[in-house]
Amino acid sequence: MPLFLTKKLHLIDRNLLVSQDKEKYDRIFNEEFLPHIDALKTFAFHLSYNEEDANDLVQETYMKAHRFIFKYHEGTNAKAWLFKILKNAYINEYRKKSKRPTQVELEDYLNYGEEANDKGSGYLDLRAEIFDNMMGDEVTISINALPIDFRTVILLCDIEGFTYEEISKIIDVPIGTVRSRLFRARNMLKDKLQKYAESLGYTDKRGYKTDGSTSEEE
Amino acid sequence: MDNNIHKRITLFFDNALNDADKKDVLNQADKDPAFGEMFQKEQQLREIIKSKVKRPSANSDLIASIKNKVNIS
Repeated sequence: MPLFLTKKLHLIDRNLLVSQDKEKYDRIFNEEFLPHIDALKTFAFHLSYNEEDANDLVQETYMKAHRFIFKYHEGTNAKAWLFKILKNAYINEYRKKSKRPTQVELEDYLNYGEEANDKGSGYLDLRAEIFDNMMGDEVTISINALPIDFRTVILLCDIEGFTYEEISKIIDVPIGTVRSRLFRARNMLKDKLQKYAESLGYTDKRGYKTDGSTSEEE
Repeated sequence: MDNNIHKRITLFFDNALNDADKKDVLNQADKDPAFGEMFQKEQQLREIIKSKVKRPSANSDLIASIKNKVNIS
């Protein structure tokens, strides 16, 4: 076969391949990535505290996902992959801003563990009547008041339903750390919600106070 | 004892138990009133968090902007 014809055929093959790749990547983007946009927006909103920054973060996430789409394996866990990109984008860009949220210092929490005898790990008196009257804002405010590393695990586990293993991969920490952060985060959240309930005049039937002690101990 | 119960219930709601252990937790919640109460309270808390937290959705402009930037239809 003449050389010019070989080169031409090679070019046609290459264009066909590029076209097939684009078709495949567009399909992945539309069918596997975009369906998670609302979940990503919620996560971004609770990390960045406002909708405008959340939109920027989501947009950046999708642009990065598209740029590195060749690294994604079709039909695998697109949601976890996107959340990891978003979390990294947030750390890289948005934490640098002046409104940088409080970061958990690992050393501050080295001594806690879920096996610890933490009285605060009990159950709050979460009667439906309290929370029927509670606006969503109080839950949102309570979650957003948590230090970033604790807020992140609550959002990923309790809001998005990721498994410990998925969360571990998204935030790059061992599963044991995920579990202990979740334990601590839930206690903090319960404490905040309890205080809110008390501010409405409700008291815990069991006698638990917000510091985790009980009236029986006094 | 209380911590172990709490741990099992937490693992149940975190979907971190195998099917047999999940079934076991559900059975215990049915049979043991104290366990059942704790189970219900944890369930309530999870539902409250899920249902009350603000979930702003992505509007069509954001979706269009993203598609436009990555050049897909």
